[in-house]
Amino acid sequence: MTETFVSRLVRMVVTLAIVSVTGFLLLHLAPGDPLAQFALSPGMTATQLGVIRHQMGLDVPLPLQYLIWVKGLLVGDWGRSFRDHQPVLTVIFGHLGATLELAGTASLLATWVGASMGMYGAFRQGSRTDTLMTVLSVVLLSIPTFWFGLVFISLFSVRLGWLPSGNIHAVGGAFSLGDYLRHLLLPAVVLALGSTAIWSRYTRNAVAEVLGQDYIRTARAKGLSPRRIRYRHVLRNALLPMITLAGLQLPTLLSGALVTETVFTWPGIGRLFLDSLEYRDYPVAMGILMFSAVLATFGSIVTDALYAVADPRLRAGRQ
Amino acid sequence: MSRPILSVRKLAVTFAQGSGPDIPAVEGASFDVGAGETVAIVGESSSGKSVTAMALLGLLPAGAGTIVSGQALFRRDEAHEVDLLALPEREMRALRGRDISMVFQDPMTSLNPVLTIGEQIAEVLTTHDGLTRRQARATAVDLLARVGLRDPGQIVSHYPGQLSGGMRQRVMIAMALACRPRLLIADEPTTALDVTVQAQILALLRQLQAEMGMAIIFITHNIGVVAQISDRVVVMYSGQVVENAPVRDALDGPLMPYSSVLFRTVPTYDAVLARRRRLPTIPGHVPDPRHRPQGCTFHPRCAHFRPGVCDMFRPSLEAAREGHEVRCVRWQEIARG
Amino acid sequence: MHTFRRLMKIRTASAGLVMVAVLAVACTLLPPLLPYDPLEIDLHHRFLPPLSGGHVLGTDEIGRDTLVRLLAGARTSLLIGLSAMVLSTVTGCLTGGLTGFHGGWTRRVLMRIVDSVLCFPTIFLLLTLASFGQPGAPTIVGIVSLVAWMEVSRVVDGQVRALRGREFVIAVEAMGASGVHMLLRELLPNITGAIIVVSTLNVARAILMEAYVSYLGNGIQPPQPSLGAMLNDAQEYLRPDPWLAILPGLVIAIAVIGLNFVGDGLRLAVDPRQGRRA
Repeated sequence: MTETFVSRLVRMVVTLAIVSVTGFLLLHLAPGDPLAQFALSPGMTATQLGVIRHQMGLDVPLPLQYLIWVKGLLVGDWGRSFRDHQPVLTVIFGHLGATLELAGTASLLATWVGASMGMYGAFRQGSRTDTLMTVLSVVLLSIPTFWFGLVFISLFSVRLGWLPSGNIHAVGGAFSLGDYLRHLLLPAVVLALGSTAIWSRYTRNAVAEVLGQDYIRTARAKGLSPRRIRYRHVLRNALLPMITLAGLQLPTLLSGALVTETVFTWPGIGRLFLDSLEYRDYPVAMGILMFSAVLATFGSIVTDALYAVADPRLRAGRQ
Repeated sequence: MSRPILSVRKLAVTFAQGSGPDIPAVEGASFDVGAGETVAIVGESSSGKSVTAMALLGLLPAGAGTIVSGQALFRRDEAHEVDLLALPEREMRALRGRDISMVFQDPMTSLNPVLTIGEQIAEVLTTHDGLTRRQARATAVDLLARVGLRDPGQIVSHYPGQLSGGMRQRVMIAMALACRPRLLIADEPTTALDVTVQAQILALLRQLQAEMGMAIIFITHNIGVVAQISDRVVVMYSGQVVENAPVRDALDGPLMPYSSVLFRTVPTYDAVLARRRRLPTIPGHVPDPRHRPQGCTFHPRCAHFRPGVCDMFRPSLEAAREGHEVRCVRWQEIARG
Repeated sequence: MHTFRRLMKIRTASAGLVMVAVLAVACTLLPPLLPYDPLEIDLHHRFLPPLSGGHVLGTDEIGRDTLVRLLAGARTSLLIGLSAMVLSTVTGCLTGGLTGFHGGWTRRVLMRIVDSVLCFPTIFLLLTLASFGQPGAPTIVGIVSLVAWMEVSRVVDGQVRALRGREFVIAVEAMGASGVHMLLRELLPNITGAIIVVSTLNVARAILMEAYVSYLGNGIQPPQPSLGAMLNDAQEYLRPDPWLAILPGLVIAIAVIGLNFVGDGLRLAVDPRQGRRA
């Protein structure tokens, strides 16, 4: 157990190292200059630009820049944003809340609706509803989420005027929960659509797989009620593969959030990333990249831990 | 023989497919099981023996494609007799696991891996006997002790993955006998086990039968097992009962050519007990249920095949003598030699 | 032939094939027959709704014909999808073949790379890469392939490893055929089915990714028509003309749903065992 844990940790560090080097190289070698924004301001001299470049730490060779950055990363100093000179971690955490609220709501919604759909389909395999839901999930996965965003905005905001088309709360208004929820509803639904389809497909297969097992036949032969068989025997077993999916969905939700945040001008981390790419704000972009990479590896570790708790076979193996 | 506890008449099971011809898995099977008696159903795979068992318990896939007909009268107690094939699902459920229970072939996959042994036995008791959880758990410990497991107090909180195959099959038996059923259906319960463990499980079943007095339908393709455990043998071939006789008669003087080949390498009852033998392979294949041959379904593989007779008329099951039935047009000729 | 007949028996798969075929034929044959150019501006006829003023699907914010632009955009999407598929399939077959055949450290290196790539959320990766090159179709093909090859590689690796142990491969090895030669001659014909399935689904994925990247402004650049970029433009004009947002999405949907249906169907048709289980 400890050995696998250590080797896991090593693998995680290697992966993060590759991610950081690749990301760093990609960003720094990409065309465009972080100083472009300053160069445009009137009265800016070459000397002044040189000073700024020095302040940004861009006047040393790239490998050295990387080492300086890594050193900072390890001691918790992730650098400062090129745009407003705020510490990167402050900037990220300033935007993280909005993304977590959006992605959290969406994933709750997706898990709940998707898993229910999947179970329904698996319990009634081959029925009309089951076929319909299978087709529906392919359709949902085949259409870019932002399109749903646009259609929803044009229907519910523009045409019907029921819900706001963007932002986290009404401009200038005081904070109220109702207002916040109204703003949250559309983006959360749009973000949830894709993962709902994934959850539905996956749950259906997981439950169908369990239903075909010998021990379900045993449970029927014992004279248990269908209800008891479903909740106690089927779902308990189907839970295991579903935990895996939950772990895998973590990084995907961030990707989805990036697009959804753009459509709904939601002030989260996805839009921050897009902006920092546009302004060549390397420290913030790298920070977000590392943050999401850590989240992804963390997700897989949490998955394994949950798995160990939920699966008596693994628990027994550990003793 | 006293009045049978189970009387199966003209049981037929057909699986209709959306496309393609129907599959008649069982065609008009009839046999009786007396109280406390052990009836072995033997046959090659796809002979319809497992489907028969599943049909009796109403466990066949409930899809529109499954058509079950016939009658299976089961004596619940001295006063009540029910037709298992006509019983509404609700009442069938109350019967399953209480009056009739079943032990399956593969103990490695037949127990739920994420529930403890105790939970799995206890839920039979809470469902049927209305025991509280605490009582059910205590009963589960007793049952585990009865099926010969050491440390039953420990084993109740184990998961199936922590037990060996033989131990799991004992758990399955404990679970099946929890409510003292009148009939136990055992579908190849020893096939997946080691030879030594097989013997132990058979001994256990016999011992428990002596103690509890339930009847057993024992489905197997192992002739050695038949000799050891059964009172009566029902031989099935391609969905039909082809011979039904007391075990000694069947093994010593089978009348249907198929049974003879089936028992060929084990000529006498005692020899069977001396060395357990597996089913010998018979030349040819069990016919595809969708395209069964005309006449006697065994004729393409039969050494006594007579053209114009065996491939023309489908023989019916006739009584050769008291309690011994055979399905063969030529059984008298063959018996005379 | 057998596989094809099985495929046609799956209702969604045949529907998918029809969708893709119709779209492909439409965007090749139709544009020359229409009296408009995708870049032709007509400020007198802006925001025309569908079926008006001689424009079947209306016009956009500067009077360009929507149908012609949709067809041109769809053609770009399909071409990008196909090119990315070819590139990623070739890369995937080579790397997967290598690791499956050679095993050992090559697989460990590849696994580490794949792990790292998977650590980047896809869109983050696409955007970072997109800002790296000159925006345009070739760049998109490159970056989409960079993401898509891994799946092919994984499939090929698995299949090669499974096949390697089989007798006929061992026999060939004993006869002294060179490794690469043998790989191509003996192994690939056996795994084409699996590769075709993944590749079909990869075309769908590539089209979807192109839409995302172009929507976010890093893909095909205006005024060149692209379905993703059209959606980006349309976002500003949801009030005067929601059709501009709805139509490009529908075209993407037809292409990607069609391809996904065909891919899922192929999976069943290529491996009937799986079909029966599903």
